[in-house]
Amino acid sequence: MPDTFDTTIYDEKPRFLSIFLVTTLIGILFISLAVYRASRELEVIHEVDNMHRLLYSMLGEQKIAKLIRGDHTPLQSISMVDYHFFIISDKQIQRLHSETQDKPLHLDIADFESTRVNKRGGYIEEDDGSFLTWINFTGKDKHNQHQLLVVHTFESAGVDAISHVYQKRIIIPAFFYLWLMIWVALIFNHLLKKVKNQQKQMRHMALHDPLTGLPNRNLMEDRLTKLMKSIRRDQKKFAFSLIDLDGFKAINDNYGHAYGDELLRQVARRLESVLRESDTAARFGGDEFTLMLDGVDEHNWYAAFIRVLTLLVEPYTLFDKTITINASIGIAIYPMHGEDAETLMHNADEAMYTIKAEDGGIRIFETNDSLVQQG
Amino acid sequence: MQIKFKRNMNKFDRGFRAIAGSTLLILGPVTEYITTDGLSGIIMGVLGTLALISAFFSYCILYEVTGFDTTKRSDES
Repeated sequence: MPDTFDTTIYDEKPRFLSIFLVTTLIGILFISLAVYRASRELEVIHEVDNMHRLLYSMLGEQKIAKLIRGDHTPLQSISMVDYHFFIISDKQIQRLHSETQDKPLHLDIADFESTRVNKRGGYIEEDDGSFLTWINFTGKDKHNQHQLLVVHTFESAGVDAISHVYQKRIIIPAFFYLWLMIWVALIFNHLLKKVKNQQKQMRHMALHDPLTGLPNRNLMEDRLTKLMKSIRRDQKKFAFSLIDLDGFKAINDNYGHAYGDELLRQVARRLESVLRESDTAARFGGDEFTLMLDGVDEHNWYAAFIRVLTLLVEPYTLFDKTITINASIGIAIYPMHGEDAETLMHNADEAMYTIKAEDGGIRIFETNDSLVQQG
Repeated sequence: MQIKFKRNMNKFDRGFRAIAGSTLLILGPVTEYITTDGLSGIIMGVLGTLALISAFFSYCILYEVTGFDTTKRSDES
């Protein structure tokens, strides 16, 4: 028997909308960060190319060839503030003497190849977030395989300049994207709600009697099993009863099924009206109902069943007719009259048939009830 | 033959969309007041046109799929 009938997963409100919006905003944050970093890198690549062109035009091919050979005299004729010149030979890096090169730089030869962005050079990101852009010139002399390395501290145009570009190009598409995401989230949320409502409806239909709206036999058996498990732990008792309407068949036969159905609906409403939250009323089938009373002693149970019986035998107004019926209530107490659902239901049934044979009323199961039935 | 359109928008909604749509069109692609960026202009133009069309027909397809209906709210009040 499934024991998850009452698990109310369908009662959870869909939180899709909030989750979707949060993930969308986080996505936008990450995309913005990636775009910002890519923009800064593009800025650096642009700087590397500019630096290469600038030095080539300022120094010329001959002076560059001299520098590559290790001759620093060309540097004395020009002012190159913040440009640092090095020679790379045999995987060793060596600074070229220059008046402007008073700022110490700690460079590792291994950094350069790993930070190359194109054939002209690359950039090194410092710990403080600043950049060192570098370019290299390779000697054309086959006997001289030295390289000239020029390093320059790059100053980015900054967030303001990049955000200005964003404002111009990205703000409106970003708003459009957000607007679209909100609609997509709303659509998904709506569809999710529909599916959940359908699930709820189907679950309700599978577990409830369509005529009276009371739990059906499946749900009642599920609740009975659960109640037994919890009661067993606490060593308590509860009462299980079967209620049969006496004279129901005659109403169906004499007045028609519409009257019979209306009677069952009214019986269900009356049973519900006397229930506490911990009690369960269910339609067992035909004109039989069950009632589970939890958490009170035998005297109170008996008093409660007398109230139920009194309520059930009061006159019913069915459309244009007023009718009266009798009821038989058979009670079995857990765990005295059965420690499993099947035995408990069987014994309540026995008690109910015993009292039905005596023209209705209430009867708590006794061991000789089964003998009375057989007799 | 008479063609009937389903309506899911009240008068306030229609008016708001008409004003918002016209504003988007004028400030976006027509005068380029907000931005001169081509893509942004196209987006504003598309959104503005959609807002005007939905205002004209009193029908929003996004309302349809999300289950919104502003006419109901106005009927209740």
